[in-house]
Amino acid sequence: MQDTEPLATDSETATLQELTSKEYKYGFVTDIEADAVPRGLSEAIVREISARKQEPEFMLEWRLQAFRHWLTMTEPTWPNVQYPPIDYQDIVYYSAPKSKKDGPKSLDEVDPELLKTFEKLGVPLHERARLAGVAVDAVFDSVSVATTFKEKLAEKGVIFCSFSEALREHPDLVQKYLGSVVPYSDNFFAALNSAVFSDGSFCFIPKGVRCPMELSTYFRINAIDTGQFERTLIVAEEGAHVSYLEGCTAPMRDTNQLHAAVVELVALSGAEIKYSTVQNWYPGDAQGKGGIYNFVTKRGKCAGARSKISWTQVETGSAITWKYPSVILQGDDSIGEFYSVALTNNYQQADTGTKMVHIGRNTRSTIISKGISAGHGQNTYRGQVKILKSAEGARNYSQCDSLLMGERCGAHTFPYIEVKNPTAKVEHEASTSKIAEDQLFYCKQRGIREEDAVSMIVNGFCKEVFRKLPMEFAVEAQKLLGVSLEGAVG
Amino acid sequence: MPALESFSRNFQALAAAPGAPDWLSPLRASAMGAFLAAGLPTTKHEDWRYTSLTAIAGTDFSEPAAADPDEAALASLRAADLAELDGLDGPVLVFVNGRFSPGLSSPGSLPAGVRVSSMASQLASRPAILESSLAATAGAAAPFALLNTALFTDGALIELPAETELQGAIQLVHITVPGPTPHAAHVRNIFSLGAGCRATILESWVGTGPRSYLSNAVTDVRLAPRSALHHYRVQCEGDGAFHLSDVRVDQAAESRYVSWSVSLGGALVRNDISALLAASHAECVLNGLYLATDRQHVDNHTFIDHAQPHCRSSETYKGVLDRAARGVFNGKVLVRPGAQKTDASQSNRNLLLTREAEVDTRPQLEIYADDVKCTHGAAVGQLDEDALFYLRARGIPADVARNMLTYAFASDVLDGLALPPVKRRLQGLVRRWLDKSQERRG
Repeated sequence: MQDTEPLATDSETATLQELTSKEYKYGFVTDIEADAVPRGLSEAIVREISARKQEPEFMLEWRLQAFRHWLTMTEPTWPNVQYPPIDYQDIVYYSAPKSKKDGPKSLDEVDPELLKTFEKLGVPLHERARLAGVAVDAVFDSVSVATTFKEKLAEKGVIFCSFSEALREHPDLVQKYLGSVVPYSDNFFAALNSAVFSDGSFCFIPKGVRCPMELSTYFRINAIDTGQFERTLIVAEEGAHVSYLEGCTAPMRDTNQLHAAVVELVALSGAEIKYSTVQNWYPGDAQGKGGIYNFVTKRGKCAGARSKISWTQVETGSAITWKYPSVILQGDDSIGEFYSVALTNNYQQADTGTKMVHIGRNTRSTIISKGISAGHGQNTYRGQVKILKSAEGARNYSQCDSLLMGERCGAHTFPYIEVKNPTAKVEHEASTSKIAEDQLFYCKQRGIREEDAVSMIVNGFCKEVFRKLPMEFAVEAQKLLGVSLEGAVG
Repeated sequence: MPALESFSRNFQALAAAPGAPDWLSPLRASAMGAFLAAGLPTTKHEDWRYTSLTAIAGTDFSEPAAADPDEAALASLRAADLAELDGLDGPVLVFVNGRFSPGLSSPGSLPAGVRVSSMASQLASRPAILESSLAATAGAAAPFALLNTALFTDGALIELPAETELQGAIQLVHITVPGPTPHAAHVRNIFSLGAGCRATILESWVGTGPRSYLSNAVTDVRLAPRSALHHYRVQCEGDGAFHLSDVRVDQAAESRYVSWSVSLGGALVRNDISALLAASHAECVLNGLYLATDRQHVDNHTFIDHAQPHCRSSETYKGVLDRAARGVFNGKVLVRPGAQKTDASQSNRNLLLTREAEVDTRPQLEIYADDVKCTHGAAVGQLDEDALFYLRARGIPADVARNMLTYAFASDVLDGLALPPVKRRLQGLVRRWLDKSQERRG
């Protein structure tokens, strides 16, 4: 699955594309090869990545520390997922914009199944080409959108740019917050990401500012092709407020199989961060071949009093999802929320959930998780609620419901509840069931097709989570669920 | 590690002892080999995540002293502690430091064909059930079950022929009088009920004094079709005790296993119950209550394996943690592919009485069939302030009110108990425990 094309930096892309579009006239290996980072991972590669990106010294130091630590770690085996061993030396660890030469030349070359899906989701025509990875320059006029967008943000003092840009323009801010929530030593994939991450988003909301619009990677032009090791850092200063959207509902074509992203959120006193994700990476075909491995570390820290971090996710894609958006509730009276819909169909596997660590007084957390399994899908909720001694009056409510469709799928619930303070109130409830026959009967009797009835019932099952999504996202997510479940019943 | 060395030493001594049946030696040797190869689990093992065995690992365990402690003293001890059970019919088997004591036991009258005897006396005659039960578990991964197979010397063997209905209860009383150096007793029980049998078995574990010792009990329960067993385990070990128990239940069609596991004593306690619902319409009901104080550590692990369709399981565990005690609950329900129409429910509720107390709970569902109804719930909390206020407004002192509410919380696990003497004893135990904890607070 890995890209065999020689890769190059931003500045060299134009030249590279020009050269690669030509036939090799003499059949020789040209010196372009020298610009490519070879496969595999070593200290030299980490240095190389950092040098290519012209990063400040502290960044290289940090990457190297992460790499050395990664060498001492072993891949986790505790998630309830199965996949063939990953050869970490067979990956090209550099994700400058990829050559689009191997992509389809026009929409006519794109898999018709994919196009049908776009149709169903109602993706505008001009976006379909971009999403399908068609090698067309500027398929839609995003530049102007992005420009007006940036001006408006700059007025308020909001910084929203790529990680590379942030390292160039605001190194102090990056240095201050990078790794403060997810240290490089956190886990195997986080360490790997810390050593080799290619790019990502950086977002900073200054004190007292309410971000005037919903920030979305969808609109940030240089978010395209950030590659498999993405890193996002969002900082909301005192009293700031931001809502951030990640991903989109349309299926994304990607040639990298392993994705190990890291997302860090920092909320200072009174700040609020709302992070919504719709993940619909390629899940593999109906036989379970191919598909993305999505191993993500997401964590937010409510560093100040009365701060709030809210995760909302709709996970329908990827062959394997391994993801636990967490909140560290350090500030007194801070609030953590996790709303999740995870769907596995065909041979998809998901091991996802959250971690709520209560440290401050009167901290509150809510977990609502809805898992849907169909086909041979395996869906695991794994969540931890930890109440430390200092968390006087902490409160948690967790609800995990699973819906099973078909007799070969699985739904699993593994909550971990650790309470060290007697004033805490922690509740966990879980249920597993299938769609009730009488509900289906009722719908069918009123002339609703079985497939529509199922989709309706499933959407009702997920309503609590969808309600938390920004409006347009919620509508898309509902459609997405319907599309993803096609063929799961009957 | 001193513990491992002492276990190896015990194993050598046992192997060298004359009179051991020769079919047993290879079983013991392979179990010991597997145990030593894996070593004692650490908190890195998912099953032992919240329970550290450092205290056990650092102890040098001798064999229990062969000489019987003073029988008269023991008899009075038993009488004092278990007096509430006097109204109970049925045979009583008493074990002292892990060995059967005929003098303290009373055989009672049993229907023909019922076998209630000590394991040691049966080893030589080698009943088929003994060998197959031991062989089936010799390779099992659970470390202390392996150790038990390697080192057990005694226990109870209870066999009921088909269609036997026993009145009252079969009582197994395990008394430990620890010596100056810590000893380890490995007890092995086998309960086998034929088709359509009904029986009640009550295990009491009592210990004296603050000294340290290890009780490592493994119980295999086999329930033939339509049989029903009520199994009570009341654990009141001494303050310095390490108590490890592993109950493994194998259920045939339409059988019913009802367990009450009540844990009050011991310094470090780990109770495992695993039930295999191996045929349709089997039912498993697990009730548990754990009260812990000081630095006690109580860990309850349950595992219910729904291997076949149309089975039911329900589970209710409650814990009260006082002072610096730590409670752990891990309940797993597995529904295997094809086990449709499974109905499984589970609940674990905990009450923390002090700032130092801690509880870690993990209810788990692993489900591979779609037409099932499975729920679990877990809660950790404190006494309701409104309820306390209500009682105090009616002139009840805070301490008493607190005790009343705690008792109400804990005792509803015992409400469904069928045998009045057992219910009285358990309610009495809970009440005395609460009074003691109130005294110390006052």
